Amino acid sequence: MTETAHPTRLSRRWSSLPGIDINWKLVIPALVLAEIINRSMGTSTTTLLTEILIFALFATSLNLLMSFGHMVSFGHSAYFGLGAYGFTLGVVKAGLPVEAAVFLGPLVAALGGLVFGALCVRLTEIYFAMLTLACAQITYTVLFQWYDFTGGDTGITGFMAPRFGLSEQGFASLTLVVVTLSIFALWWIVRSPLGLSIRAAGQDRFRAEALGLTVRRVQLSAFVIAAFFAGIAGTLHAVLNGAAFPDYAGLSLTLDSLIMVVLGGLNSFSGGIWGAIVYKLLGAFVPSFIHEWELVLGIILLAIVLTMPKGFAGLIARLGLDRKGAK
Amino acid sequence: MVMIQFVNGLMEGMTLFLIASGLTLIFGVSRIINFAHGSLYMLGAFLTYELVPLIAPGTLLGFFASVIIGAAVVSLIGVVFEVTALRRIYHADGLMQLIVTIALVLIIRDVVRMVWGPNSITVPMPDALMGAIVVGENYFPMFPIVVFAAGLVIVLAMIWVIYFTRAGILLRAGTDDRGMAALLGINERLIFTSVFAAGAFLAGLAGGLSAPYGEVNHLLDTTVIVSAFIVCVIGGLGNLYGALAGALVVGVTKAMGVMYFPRLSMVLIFLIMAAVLIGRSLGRQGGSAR
Amino acid sequence: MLEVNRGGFAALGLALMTAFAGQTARAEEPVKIGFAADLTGACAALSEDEMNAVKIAVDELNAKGGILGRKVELVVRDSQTKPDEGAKVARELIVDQKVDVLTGVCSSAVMLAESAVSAEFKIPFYATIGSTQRANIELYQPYFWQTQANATMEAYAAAEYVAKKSEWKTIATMGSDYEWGHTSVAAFSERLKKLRPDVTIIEPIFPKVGETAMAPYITTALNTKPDAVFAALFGGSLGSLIKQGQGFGFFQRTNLVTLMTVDTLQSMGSAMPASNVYGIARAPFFALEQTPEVKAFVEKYRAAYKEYPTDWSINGYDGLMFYAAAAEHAKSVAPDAIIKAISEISYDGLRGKGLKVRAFDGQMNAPSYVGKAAKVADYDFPILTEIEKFDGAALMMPEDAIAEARKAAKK
Repeated sequence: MTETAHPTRLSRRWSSLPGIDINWKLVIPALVLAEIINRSMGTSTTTLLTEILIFALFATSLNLLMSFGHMVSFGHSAYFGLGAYGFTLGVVKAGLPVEAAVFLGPLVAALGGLVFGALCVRLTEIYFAMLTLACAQITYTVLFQWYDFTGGDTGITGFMAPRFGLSEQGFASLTLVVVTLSIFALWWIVRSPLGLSIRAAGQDRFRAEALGLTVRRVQLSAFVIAAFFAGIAGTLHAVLNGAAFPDYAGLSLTLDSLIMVVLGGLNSFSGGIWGAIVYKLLGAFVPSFIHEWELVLGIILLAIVLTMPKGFAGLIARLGLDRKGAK
Repeated sequence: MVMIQFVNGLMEGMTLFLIASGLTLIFGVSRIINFAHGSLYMLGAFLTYELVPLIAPGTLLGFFASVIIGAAVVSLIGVVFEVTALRRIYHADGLMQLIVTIALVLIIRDVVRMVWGPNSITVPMPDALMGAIVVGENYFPMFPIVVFAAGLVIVLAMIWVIYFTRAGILLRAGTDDRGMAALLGINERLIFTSVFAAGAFLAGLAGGLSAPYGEVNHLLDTTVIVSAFIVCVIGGLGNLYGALAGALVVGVTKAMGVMYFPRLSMVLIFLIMAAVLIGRSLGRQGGSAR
Repeated sequence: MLEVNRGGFAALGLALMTAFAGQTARAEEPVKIGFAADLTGACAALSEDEMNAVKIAVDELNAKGGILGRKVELVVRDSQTKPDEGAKVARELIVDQKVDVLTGVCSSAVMLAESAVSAEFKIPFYATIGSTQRANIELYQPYFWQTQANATMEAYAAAEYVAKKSEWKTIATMGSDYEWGHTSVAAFSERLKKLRPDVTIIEPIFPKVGETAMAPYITTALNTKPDAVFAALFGGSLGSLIKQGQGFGFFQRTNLVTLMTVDTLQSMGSAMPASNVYGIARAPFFALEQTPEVKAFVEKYRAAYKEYPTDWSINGYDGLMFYAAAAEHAKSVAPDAIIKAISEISYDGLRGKGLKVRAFDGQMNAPSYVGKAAKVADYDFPILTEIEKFDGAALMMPEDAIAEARKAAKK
């Protein structure tokens, strides 16, 4: 009790929290391997890799809220969608050049995060989750129904050459760079004083307030940051397909991202990354064996939650591949 | 016109309440957000479809018997799920419980598609409920009126169970103070299991009762769960009367919205939901709201 | 000498064998049909019917020796009724599986997503269910065609039918609140106004997609005392409208004109009102001219799947057979040869003779059928009777109007 209240020991304890340190011996080979896979395998592998990367970023941004802020968002797809539409509408309606519009996407998402987040952080736990759900559904409904502006259910297609006209491999490399930088930025944020405050607010909001933190403001910052990075993921996805659809802000994408974080492992920074890898690989290979792939996914989810609640990141750690395991 | 729309709204509201009641009950006691509630609803509808031709087809009694038996089977499925999966993680993070119920959603959806195929099916309406009560030029269809009545019966039954039976006392004790109830020797596990069984029963009942009034297919689950969430949130999760009020508000708002701003009705519902949530944050802090 | 000869013979034999092997390998390289369909999600039921029929078509083609003597191979992928999933599997089919043609889509959004991929790789892509005319107009790309009436044509057919009901003076309209609903209602109203200036068309109402609580909409529509209600609804909303409408005396007080394909007729079953329902259909098997081909197909389909083919099945079958005909005409499956061929041939299919694709927008002059739903003795589900078949050519948007619309979309 008293030891956690002591600031220096507190931060020391936090900085050694599981799953926050980077094991460079693992990360650098992984990045190299990703690029090798990209360059040496077929196009569909490359596309799968690009998708995994995009969703790794998306899930990691959600994970910032969930694992560190202990804010379970039920509507994270809203910011993915806002990113995609911010970019797309920037090109189609505002007539921006594609290269400029890519910066608009994440900003629109962050703005959405600011507006919705300001409302959501007034609530806690399940009510927070429900309000994020309501915000996402409002976003989705507007994208779906505002036919004249957003193209409605049939979305916006054919406004640009997919992937800026880059080859699949080229775009995968670009995505690899953008996603890696973004995830490092997220990692840096988690380690920064702001990250410490987010974790403090997540662990015990009353104690954090007693320590002088304005919990709501901290949570709002976390929310906006998460929305911004989800927006980057959404923008990348829109560029990949050269299209934007209301589904990008839909409930199923939110569920996908939640499943990814849990599959990968809560309370671990790398959980979102592992989750995206496992989920997307399952989605790519299981359907070719069995038509009922959701059934398989459901059973796997059950098995994971019931037998290894720390997810794949926990498994990796247990195998000693993580630095945490080595310590 | 306004009056008929109001009645339409009340009728839809009661259907929504039937859907939401089980969800809110389970949440109130176990603090579990049962994402699979819509899936259990869907199962109830499909089981009713199977049972209706077997039990005195066309009659009112046969229909209600089918619905109740179907709901009982759904309840059994719920119990199996609770005992084998949910029970093991009551003390884990709430998110884990949620994910387990999402897993159940995925499993049930595919199982339903394997068994009944992707096509929509129709559950025949009992002959006695086909007509309407006609007042002048205004039609009040029989079927929703009967569903409304059934809903009222269920509300009263729930109130009776919760406030006037021993089971209800235990349940309330468990809800108010889990730890204290456990200390007093109340079997918490049994309460949770029974409540889950009851919630699943209500979901199956709602599914069976609504089945003849629309299409039944393997996509029902998501549509249903979102409306159930909305109702529960507006009414305050875990609050039975709140769910009733919330359901009626949503039903009436949608029906009235059709007349004035039809394209906005869905956004409007979510706005109400958001407003209620924000209002709650201004008043007492969220969380326990029984 | 002997030794050398032996070696020479061996070498010759080896060379012959490789040459022969190479020959057979080329001849046996199949024509690959990339079938990226919405096998799960909201479109699952329609896509499955389509796929069932396409499988029959593939078997028939192979029994006759395939396309251009090459075996036909179907490569199936599930696009899950999600546009980005559709784009992904389409890309995979084209790049890794090297398919010669892409088809299968149902949802309009998935269709446009896959069409974009087809344009990117210049691989032919045709739709037989999804029917958004955005694919013909502003999002048209030269490697695309669709073999069914698009939403506008279908709505025009409904308007033509309604216009002939001289006793109908007031028509209410409603549509699901998405692209198809809005387009259908707009096209219906436009054509009907032209045909019957005396008819009052009530301001449309748009229930949200998938809405099942239809009572408020029924009340609103009936409140205007219409002689008929045109409803561009689908699936759950349509079923709810019909079931819930009965309690309001809808089918005593007015008539309903709506999409009514074979699967809907079957799922409605006994819940179908005895009268006053008029259905628009794409290819109801009972309304087709009962040629030997149609009869054989229906027989074969029923034998294989224990059910009647739906509109989606018929169109799926016709779609692939049309492609085969185009390939035979072009004597090649090379994309540009196929695209050239599709507007040159006239195809006789299950839906009748003389089906053609217009080069300008890739639209086939596919017919629409409108009739009155009724229970008859031969079937255990209601069918459409008093059917009128509307030839597609008369319903297609003229080329100059499309050019105009394309320009307007570009702004």
